[in-house]
Amino acid sequence: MLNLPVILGLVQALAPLVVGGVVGVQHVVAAIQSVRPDLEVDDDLRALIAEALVAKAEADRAAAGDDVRH
Amino acid sequence: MTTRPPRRVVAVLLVALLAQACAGNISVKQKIDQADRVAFESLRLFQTMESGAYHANAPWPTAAQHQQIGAKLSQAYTLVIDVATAGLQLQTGVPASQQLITEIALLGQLVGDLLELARAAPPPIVAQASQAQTDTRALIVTVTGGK
Repeated sequence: MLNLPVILGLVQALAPLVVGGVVGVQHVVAAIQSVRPDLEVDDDLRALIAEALVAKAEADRAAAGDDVRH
Repeated sequence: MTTRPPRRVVAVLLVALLAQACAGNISVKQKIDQADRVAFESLRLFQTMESGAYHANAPWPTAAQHQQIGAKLSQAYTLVIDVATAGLQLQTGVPASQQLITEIALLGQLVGDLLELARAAPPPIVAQASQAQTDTRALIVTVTGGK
């Protein structure tokens, strides 16, 4: 059983560390696998994790008024 | 005098019932998994379109609207996950907690607000905001079982 919401919850909890450059996506994947050793992180799930990290980071930056126009 | 069914028959029936119950639970969890992903991806597509318009210096969104949308999306992302996670933990026959009811109401409000903020956007972005609302509502229905 994938339990995607649980995985995305972990991703969001770790998102500030990724944005801050403390950890990368591969560290997030490793952290998820440490709590869900049964989980096989395939390319599809890896892409979703990366997308979730970017989505949350972009939303938070916009909310803070830090997203200036290009 | 009543006739008792053989123990073996009772055991087989119990196992069958248990298997059916387990199969039902797996099915609901899979549906929540799927609905969660659809809702997330729908919100993300709206965000990508809105952000693209903002950085292309389109009249919509203004900087203030972009900031408001970012704040609501950030909350919505968290709630989509929280509501789905709570849904996965719901036991059959046990009513939803007050916290889950509050989160569902807030999530519904947020996607409604996003659609309102997108009213002045180009039609494809309005359509995606509406789709995000539909997909989020579908997640809520999956979690609550339509109650």
